[in-house]
Amino acid sequence: MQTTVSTGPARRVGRGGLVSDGLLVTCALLMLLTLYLVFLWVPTDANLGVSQRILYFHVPLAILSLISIMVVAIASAVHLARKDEKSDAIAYASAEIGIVFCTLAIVTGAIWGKPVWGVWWTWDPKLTLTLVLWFVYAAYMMLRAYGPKGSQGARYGSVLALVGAIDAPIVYYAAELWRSTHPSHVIGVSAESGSLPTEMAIALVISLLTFSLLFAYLIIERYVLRRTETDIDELFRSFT
Amino acid sequence: MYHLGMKLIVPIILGVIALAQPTIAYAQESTSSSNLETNLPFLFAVYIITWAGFFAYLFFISRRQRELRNELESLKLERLAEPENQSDSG
Repeated sequence: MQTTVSTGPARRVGRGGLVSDGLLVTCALLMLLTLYLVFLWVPTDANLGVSQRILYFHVPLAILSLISIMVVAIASAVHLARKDEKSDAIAYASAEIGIVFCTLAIVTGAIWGKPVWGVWWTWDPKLTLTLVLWFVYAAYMMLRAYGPKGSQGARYGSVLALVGAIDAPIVYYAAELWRSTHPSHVIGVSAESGSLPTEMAIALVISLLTFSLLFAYLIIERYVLRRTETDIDELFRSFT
Repeated sequence: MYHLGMKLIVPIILGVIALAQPTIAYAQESTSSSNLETNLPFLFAVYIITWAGFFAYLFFISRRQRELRNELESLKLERLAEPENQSDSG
């Protein structure tokens, strides 16, 4: 008798499908547009000079690192309520991408700080709380990697994410809540009107859109990969 | 995804280089203070680090995909070998 082996999982190993590929292509095209706008279209800031152009990468990275922890928290809450693996996989994927965005936001912020403030780092409330957010992400990833496996680890991670997500709104409003050297919001509902010239605001919004698509693309890819990892782990366990 | 990503990397890098060249001239023309021009290395450091960070992460994801594919192949081989072992013992 001939033995047949399903190739179903093999086809979907780490593949997000057409939506994911479409997102990547759109993101690549928008990234070229963003680079054109940032380097050739927007005027150079009179006070900060060319270093102001760092803002077009730093702000989207920082905003998405905050959105990411909110995604982790919401997916974790759903996981705790429904006990389904899909929401846990979304939380895990978002946390992993969140730590990448948060790291890049801190590094780009430090590089912006050196020419503008004269120091790489200062214990400003917004900066310090962003560092706390980075530690929340790191704690989540370490818990998932070295903590209990299976549903127990997912539950612990969910609780940690829910507690850690409290930091996100505080980071967002830190410059408004405390006397901070960090600039206040330049876009969004709480931004003062005219705080950013129109051309700069347009470039920033397009950059934010581009990075949001990149974020969505990475989430889909990592989510599919995480699901496959879980499936293969279960398969291995069933063999042994 | 991996191949598509690799195909996109080269045009993006070339695009960045092409855009960066006139930018240096543009920035130098539009700023009168030499202090503003000295910030160019910081600007390029940010863009290089961000790109490097994302490509490193994409590389990590693609490597993990490869590992999973290999694990799946080994599982398939184990599964195929099982009935043969059973028939040998029977």
